[in-house]
Parts: sequence; structure tokens; C-alpha cells
Amino acid sequence: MRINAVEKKYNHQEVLKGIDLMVTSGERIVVMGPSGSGKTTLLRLIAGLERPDSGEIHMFDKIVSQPGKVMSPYKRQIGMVFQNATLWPFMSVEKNILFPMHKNEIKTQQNHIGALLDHLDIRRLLHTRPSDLSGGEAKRVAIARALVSNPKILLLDEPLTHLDRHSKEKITEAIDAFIIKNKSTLIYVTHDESEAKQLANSKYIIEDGFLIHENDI
Amino acid sequence: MVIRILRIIIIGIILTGVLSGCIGKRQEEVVIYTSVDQIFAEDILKDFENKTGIKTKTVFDVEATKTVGLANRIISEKNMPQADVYWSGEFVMTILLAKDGLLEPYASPSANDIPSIYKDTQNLWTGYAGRARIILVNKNLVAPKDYPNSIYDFLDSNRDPNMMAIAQPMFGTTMTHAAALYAYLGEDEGRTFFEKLKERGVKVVDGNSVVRDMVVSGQVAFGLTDTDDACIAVKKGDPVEIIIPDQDEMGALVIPNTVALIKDGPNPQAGRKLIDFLLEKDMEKTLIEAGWSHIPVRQIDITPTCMSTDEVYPMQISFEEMFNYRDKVNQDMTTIFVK
Amino acid sequence: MMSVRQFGLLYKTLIYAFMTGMIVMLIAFLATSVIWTVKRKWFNKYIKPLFLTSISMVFVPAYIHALAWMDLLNAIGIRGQVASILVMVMSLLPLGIMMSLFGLILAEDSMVEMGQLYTKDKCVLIKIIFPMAKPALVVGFAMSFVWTIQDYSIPSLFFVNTYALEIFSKYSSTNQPILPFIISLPMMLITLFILWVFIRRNKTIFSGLRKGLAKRAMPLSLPIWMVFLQFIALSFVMVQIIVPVLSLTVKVQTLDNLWTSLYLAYDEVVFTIILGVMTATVSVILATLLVSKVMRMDKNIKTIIGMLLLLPLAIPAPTVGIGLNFVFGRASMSFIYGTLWMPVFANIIRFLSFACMVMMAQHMRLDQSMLESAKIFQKNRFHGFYKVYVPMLSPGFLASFFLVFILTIGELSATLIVVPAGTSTITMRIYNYLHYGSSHLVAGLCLIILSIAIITGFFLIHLLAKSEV
Repeated sequence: MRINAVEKKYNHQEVLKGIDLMVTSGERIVVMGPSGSGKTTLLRLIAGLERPDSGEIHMFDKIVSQPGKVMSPYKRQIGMVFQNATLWPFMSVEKNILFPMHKNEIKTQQNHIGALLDHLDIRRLLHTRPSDLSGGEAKRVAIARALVSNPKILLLDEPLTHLDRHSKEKITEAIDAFIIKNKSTLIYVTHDESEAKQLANSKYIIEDGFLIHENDI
Repeated sequence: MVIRILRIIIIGIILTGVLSGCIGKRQEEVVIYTSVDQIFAEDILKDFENKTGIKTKTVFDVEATKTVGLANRIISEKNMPQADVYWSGEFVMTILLAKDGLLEPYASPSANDIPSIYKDTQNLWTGYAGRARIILVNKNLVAPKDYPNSIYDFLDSNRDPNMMAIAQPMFGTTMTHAAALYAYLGEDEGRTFFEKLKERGVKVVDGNSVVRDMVVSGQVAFGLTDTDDACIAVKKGDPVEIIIPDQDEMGALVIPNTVALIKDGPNPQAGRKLIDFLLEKDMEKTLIEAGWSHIPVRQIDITPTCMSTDEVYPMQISFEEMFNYRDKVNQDMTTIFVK
Repeated sequence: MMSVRQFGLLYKTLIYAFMTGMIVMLIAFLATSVIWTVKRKWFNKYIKPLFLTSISMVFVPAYIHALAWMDLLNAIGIRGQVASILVMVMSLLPLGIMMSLFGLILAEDSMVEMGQLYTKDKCVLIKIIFPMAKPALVVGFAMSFVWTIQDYSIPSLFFVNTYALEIFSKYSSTNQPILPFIISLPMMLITLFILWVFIRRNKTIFSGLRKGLAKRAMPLSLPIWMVFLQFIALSFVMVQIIVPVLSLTVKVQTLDNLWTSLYLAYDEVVFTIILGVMTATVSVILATLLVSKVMRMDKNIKTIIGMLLLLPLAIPAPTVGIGLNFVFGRASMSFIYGTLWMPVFANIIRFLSFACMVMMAQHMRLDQSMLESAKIFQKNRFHGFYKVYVPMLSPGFLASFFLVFILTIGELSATLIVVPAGTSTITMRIYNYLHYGSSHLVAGLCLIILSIAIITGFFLIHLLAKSEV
């Protein structure tokens, strides 16, 4: 994936002033920066939930975002976890997780799904409603939903904040295993330096609207 | 669950839409728009179906639209008329349709014995079975010696204006009545009459049936209304008396029903048959006996059910003349009464 | 140009409508606020059926309310403007209750609970619950206001003249539907201005609301004077049901009479239900598509479109019918002209705005991140729309469906102009029979309409209660 000179304004205020980034498959990067610096906006631009004011985003040698044209998010082969779990309250946990998959995929990918459920320790929750989950459980379900369809790019927005140790460990392990197996790209936003070290292998900082490569971890 | 129900509803709608387009004409039919009350017209039209085998499709007007609803419908359907026959409880809207060129001349053989003053000169419409404008009195509140006998009793300073009612004179038969007074008394005097009504504080209510209801309930002692409204109260046995006003000189306003054939209607032949049926002498008798109309326009033997119809002296004003005053009257009445 | 008389009349009418709208929403909010103050069990047992019945009363024509109330008000000496406002309030209260409940059901428990931590329950009601319900309350006020300025029949029963009477007088005498439209413009412009001010002042409330997942908050305990106000408001709701129902039942006299009404009006009952369901379904679909597009647009465009949506409310009802006949009355359109679609279209034109308003209120409360998740994980557009977007909007669907259904069933003037010959709605028959005063037939028909309303109402609310949004 390649980002070229992407800019984004909100209410005449420039949040991102020219972002350039190139990531290859299997690469894991963490984006850090103070609150309001535009980290989440960057993820949303990559996901296709926002339209850039200028610049381009390429994925797999295709332009997916430019000011006049944005490819729909679901066509980008991405998985994403928001700050909140954002599970749909009217679907069971199982339906939430399997939502991105086609029926025949569900049949053929039984092993993958089973492994994911075990890795995240959520098999026993399949028939519960999201409103009955704890915060950590809800986050693990959200991670499962993001990983189930084998996305090529994984976007995580502070997925480990406010979680108990058990959940943190489970999630880190699952993501780690997933990336190694699928050679997916991970783009990860957080405040927490130690979290960053656990998952990423290079670190970027957004400062004053620019993305700066700080070091390899 | 919600989605499943939505799905069923949507399929239902598509089916209804498709089916309603598929059902073709199997039977000869005639479309009639009428402001004659459903309760009377329904039985009459059923009789027509039984007698001729022609199916009637009806749209009934309602009082809330002051009988202009269907006339407006006919005007709006000018490009592609859907109705064959217009059967109205009055004449103003019929003349309007005639003037707009929306009616087809037809001299029904059933109308041969109807006097020519009740027919359009070009046979665009035919009138019969009249209603009269009368004063309805509450017998418990007014002694027989004090019964009003003229519309000028509404201006009598010895009577309490709070105990009298008329319907809003911008609409319906009350407006026609105002137009008749303009024509009979002259514009200035006609206007003055209504200005005085307003000045005195006579109650102005929403429709002739409300006038009747208020007389019946004793909220007013008497009010100006139509015979059809009044007769409903008489038949129910309410304590009321019908007075036909101004029989010495001016006369009472008689408003006929009118029947007309719509120009370029979809079933002209069936339409003519229906008109013949509606204008028959027997039908006029039926309408009067049922209580919709009260004053025949030709010699008919009737046992009166509500009021004696023998000696009604009608106002001598042509329908055309009244029609011509309607814009002026509407404007004046709005200015006087809507404040 | 407007004459001094017309200007005075307009001024009087606006005050009259404003008062009516405010009183309706005040009573409705106070009465419905009990859902936050009484115990759950008690609410389900007593208050819920009361509200449901009240909402169903929306089907009773205003005229019947008026007939039921007239003698009573006369007897206690309430007349003129006050009487007219009272009857109007009674006939609009079901609408007010419905909108207010819609607002309150959507208010979030977590926010209320958060409020309970820091302030008195009284303040929670005023400072947290009220603002959260405000968008729906504003819609309710707007609807009551527009309804009141368009109605002339109730005020004329109490000898109050309104601007609507002026418009109708012009309409009936000129047969030029465009003229009353022009006359009604000043009335509409003022309505639009009032709505615009409301929307501008309230836009902060519209943003940033998130649906909490917490359980129903603990009942609030209010100071005694507020409980007293709630009690008075609830009494109004009860009286609004009891007086007309009692008067209808007394007038029907026997069960036999009720059967006669049903037998006579069987075709109309079926036709009315089909017309109502079709109009409501098509309106909900259109409103959903329209609103989902509009909500993504620029703020200013959103405001302009919102205003445009309200414009059909200004068109006098018969003009809608006349316009449709003009558009479809040609050979190439004969597959629609003269069919059931004509009254469906007429009612859509008249009431789509209301469906859109409800959907917009629902949209403003949607958790955007849930929709965004769907965008990422959906298999295709339809999948996400159908599985996530539609269920999340389902309270809005049900509310707007019910609303349009009710309004369509009660519509008269436009339907009369376009209804296929040989068919008729129950309302048309009721108004035809009204010529006879409040006879047992009219009363019977009203009771039938009322039963349809109560059944539909209970059914929809049952569905709503089962959905987890």
C-alpha cells in the first residue's frame, strides 16, 4: 500500500498536511501522536471512510482513494477495529463475527474460524448478545470479526486500551499469529509505547499534520 | 422479524399493483360522481344495477368540501375524463362545469315533463327534485306565536341574536342563498343584510347540519338551513318545526338537484341510460319520499313525510343570475365574516 | 397583496396554532416523562396500554372530538378560542404522545445514569432527558402547528375564524387551485421560519449522541410538584380517550348497530387498509433512501433540502389531487391514472415529509461507527444495507410507517379527488354520514377505525419492543 501526499481538512482546519507512506505485505507499523493529531483520520482515510482533499492512496497497484473517487471500503480487503467495539446490538456474537463471510466461505473456512475463536477465547460467547458482553469480551469479538475474512490490511485503532491482561494477551497473540500466517499488513494506532513494541516493527509519529518515520523497533 | 414482515408487505404491494393493472373490464359499467348523500344514492344506484345490469362506480362527495370537491375533480380530469354522469344536490357547480365546456348536451326523454326553467337552454343539465332554504325552529324555546316567518326576523331587534344561527355564507347553499338575495334585493341591499347579521352577532357556524344540530340541542332558538338537514331532525322526532320563509312576497329559495352528462366520458351510452333513470318521475318521487328532496318540479302525488310541499312559493330568480353573483358574493361574504 | 383584514387574521391564526402546538407538546412530554419515573412493572401494566390507546385515538376525526366535547364545554361555560384550542389539543394529543414517546424511547440510559451521579433527578429530567427528546418534540410541535393552521372546521364550530377559512373560501369559489396556494404562502413561510429557528438552535443536540448499551436506568424520583404536573398531564390523556369513546359508545347504542356499520362499510375497511399499508410502505422506502442520501450531504444543503421537504405541507390538499390528475391524466399514463396508485401518490406527496422527519430524527441518533463497520465488513452494498442499516433504523421505520398509515387513513380532500371510482375510504364514508350529525352509523364507523388503530398500534409496538435497537 502506498499513500501519496494525502491531505485532509475538517472545518477549514488542516488535520493532515501531506502524508506519504509505503508499506509492504507482512510489515507492521504503529502510528503514534498526541490526541487530535489525526491518527484516527489516517486510518479512516485508508479504510475509505473518508475522502482525501488531495493526494492518492494505492492498494495492490490500484488507486483506491483520490479527491474525486473513493473505492468502497468493503472492496479493499481490509479488517478494522474501532476504538469502541461497535458490535451490532441486534445480532448475536456469532452473526457479528460471520457477517463479512459468504455462506460457502463459512463452510470451507471452518478450521480458520475455529482457531480464531479458540485463540481469542470467545467460543462460549457465540450465542450471547453484544449487550451481555464485558468490555474485554466485546473487543475480542470485534477482533475476530476483523480477522475472520483474512484481510490483506489490518487497521487497528487503540484496540488494547482499557483492557484486562487476559484480553490483551489473547488479542496480541491472535493478531501476531494471523499476520505471520497471512503476511498481512498491520497499521496500528496507539498512545502506549509498550503496546507499540508488542505488535509493530516500525514506528511513525504524526506531528503537525505530517507523518514522520521515527525508528524501527 | 421486522424485516420478514416488511418483505411480506412489499410482495403484497407488488402483487396488488400488478393485479389492479390486470383486471380488465368484464361488465358494462358507468361512472358517476355525486354530491347526493350516500345513504340515499346507494340504494338508488343499486336499483339501477339490478334493472339494467350495468355496474355503477361511484364517487361520493362529502360536506366537508362543501360540495366543490367533485366539481374540482371533474375540472382536473378535463384531459381524460373518468366520469360519465355528474349528479349534484345543487346547481351552481353544474353551471360552472357547463360554462367550462365540460358537459355534453343530452335531452333525456325522462325530462320531457320538467318545466324549461329547470333545464339548461342547450340541454347541458337538467334540474329536478328541489330543496328549499327554510328556518328551523326549536319548539321548546319559541312559542308558536313568535315563530319567525321571514329571513328579516334575523335582524329583528326584539330577538336575541345569540340564539340564531346561519351557516358560513362563503360556502354551499348559504352562499347560493346570498347570491339569490343580491339578485333579488340588489347588490347594496343584499350586502347590507349580511353586514347587519354580522353586526348583530348572529352565530355563523360550519355548515347547515351544524345549524340543525344547534337548533335541536337548544343552543340556538332558530336557524337558517336546508330542508334535507331539517327533515333529518323532524324524522328523528326532535322538537323542531320547519318554517318556509317569506311566502308573502319574496318567496323561499328552492335549489334543485341537477344531472348532467360529462363530455368525453368513458361510457357515454351507459351514462345516458343512467341519466334517463335518475330523471324519471318515479325517481323524483323516491328522492322526496326518502327525504333528500322536498319540492317536486312536476306534478307528483306524494304523501309528505316531513313537510307539506304543496304551497311553497319559490323566489323568482333565474339560476344563471344567481350563478353570476357568486364571485362577488364570495368576496363580500369573506370580507364581512372572516375576521 | 394582503389586506389589513387578512393580515390580522393571519396573526391571530399563528398565535392560535402556536398556543395549540405548545400545549399539545407540553402535556405530551409531561405525561410521557413517566416512563422515566415509574417502576417498570407498573409502567407495562398501566401506562403502556394508556399511551397505546391514546395514540390510536389519532384515527378519530377531529370533528368527532368536537361533537363529543361541545356539549360538555358549553355546559361549563368554556367557549370561543379557548374551547377551540382545547378540542384541537385533544385531537392532536395522540400525535404529541407518539412523537414524545419516540423521543423518550431513544434517550440513552447511560447518559441518564451519568446525570443521576452528579445532579438531582429533577435536573436530570429537565437538563438531560428533555434535550435528548427535543428533536422528536420539535417535530411533534411542527406537525401540530401545521395541522392547526390548516384546519378551519374545528375553529368554525366554536365561532373562531382562521386564515385557513379564508383560503378555503377562495378555493371553493374560484376553482383555481393555484390561488389558495398563493394565499397560503405567507402562512407557510412563517412556519418554515419557525422550524428553521428551532433547527438552528437545536443543532448541537443533534450531534454527538450515542446509543448506550446500559440497562434501563433506575426510576427518577421527582419533587412533588412535578409529579403533580405529570398527574395532570396523564389525566388529560385519559380524558382525551374517555370523552370521545364514551360519547361514541353511547351513540352506537347497541351491538347490532355496530355490526350494521361494519357490514355497510366492509369494502371501505378493506380498501382503507390496503391504501394505508401501500402508502406507508412506499413512503418509508422513499424516506429511507432520501434521508440516507441527504444525511451525507453538506450541512447547508441538508438544511435547504429539509426546508424543501416541508413545502408539500403548504400545498392545500385538494391542490395535490388536482395536480396529480393534471400530470397523469393522459393516455400514456393510463396504467396509473384512475388506479389505486393515484390516492397512494396523493398521500405520499402529502405525508412523505413526516416520514422523512421521523427518519432524520432517527438518523441523527444513529451510531455512525456501527454503520462504518458495516461498510468495511459487508459483502456488498445490499448486504450491509439490509443486515445492518435497516435493522438499526427499524424503530424509525415502524414509527414513520405507523404515522403515514394513520395520516393516510384520515386523509380526505386529496383522496376524494383521485380515488378510483367505485372505491372509498372509511373516512370518506364517515364524512358523508356526518351530514346526519353524530348518528349511530358515524359512531359505529369511528369505533371500527379505532379498533383497527388499536390493533395496528399494539402489533407495531410489540415488534418495536422485541427489536433490540
